[in-house]
Amino acid sequence: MKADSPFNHRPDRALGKALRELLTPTDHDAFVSHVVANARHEFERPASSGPWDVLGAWMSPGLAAAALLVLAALVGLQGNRPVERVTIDDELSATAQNVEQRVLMYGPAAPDVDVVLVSGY
Amino acid sequence: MNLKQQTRETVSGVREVDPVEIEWAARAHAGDIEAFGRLVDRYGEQARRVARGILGDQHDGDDAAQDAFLSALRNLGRYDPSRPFGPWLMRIVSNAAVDRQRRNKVRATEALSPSAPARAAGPATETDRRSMLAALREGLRKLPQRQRTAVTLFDVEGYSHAEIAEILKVPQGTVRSDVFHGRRALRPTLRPWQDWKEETI
Repeated sequence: MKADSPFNHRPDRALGKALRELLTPTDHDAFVSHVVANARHEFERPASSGPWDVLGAWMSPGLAAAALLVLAALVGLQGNRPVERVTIDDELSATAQNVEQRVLMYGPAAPDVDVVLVSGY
Repeated sequence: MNLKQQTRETVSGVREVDPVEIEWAARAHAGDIEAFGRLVDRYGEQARRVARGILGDQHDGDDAAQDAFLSALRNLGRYDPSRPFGPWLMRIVSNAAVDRQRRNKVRATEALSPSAPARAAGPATETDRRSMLAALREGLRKLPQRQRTAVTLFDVEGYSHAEIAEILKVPQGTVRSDVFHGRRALRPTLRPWQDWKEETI
């Protein structure tokens, strides 16, 4: 059997040498340092934290979230205050005694003269 | 590092367990990062060659090799110390590389740049060497992934067919076939540089 026969069950030195040259890196020490540093980073951190540490870590973002929530609620309340508008109910319920100035001013129809006179405006 | 210096083989070609490696593995499993570093130092080049061979890309190969080492560290509890460390690690390397290959399927292959010259070479010789390596790189890239892995493990790293079968979880006959077909495809790429080949052996 020829040395370079594909059937040869021994490693092909020429092919192996050429492939080794193609694939072998030149920065072995840097690679080792990099992997070891990553391993150290991953495996040497504290195994577990106590509940108070966890709660402490959550405190700052929790406070910030609560402040934002309060602010949003205040803005929401301000925005949801009912706008005073003259409705048909206002006009129907307006009598000489309880009529308001806004009903007289902004109502779609002219008020009755009796109402105007009695309202005192 | 010479492979022969770092592994001990029986007459049948199957590696023996190296007690030093077992000790490093045990210490690393217990959290000794320095012991882990010794394993990385011993197997780093081999792991990178295998991963580069599988992926055809030096950066991806190095990333896969690093993933494999960290994965090995996480899973040292599963390592059977009655068996040699190298094949166990190479199985993890092979899996990491194949996994990365799946994820990077779309990414264009970046050329494997030849490493520094192994010997002093004149301009003509250096050009020949680079041409030969470029042809070999292209030939390797065209091989099916399992053939690339089998040829790299067999002809570059010196693993036996039985060990490669264990690493790749395929029958030995499949490994022999993969090595055969891989060699048959790669050898013609070396032929034009026969002089270089004979000179360097």
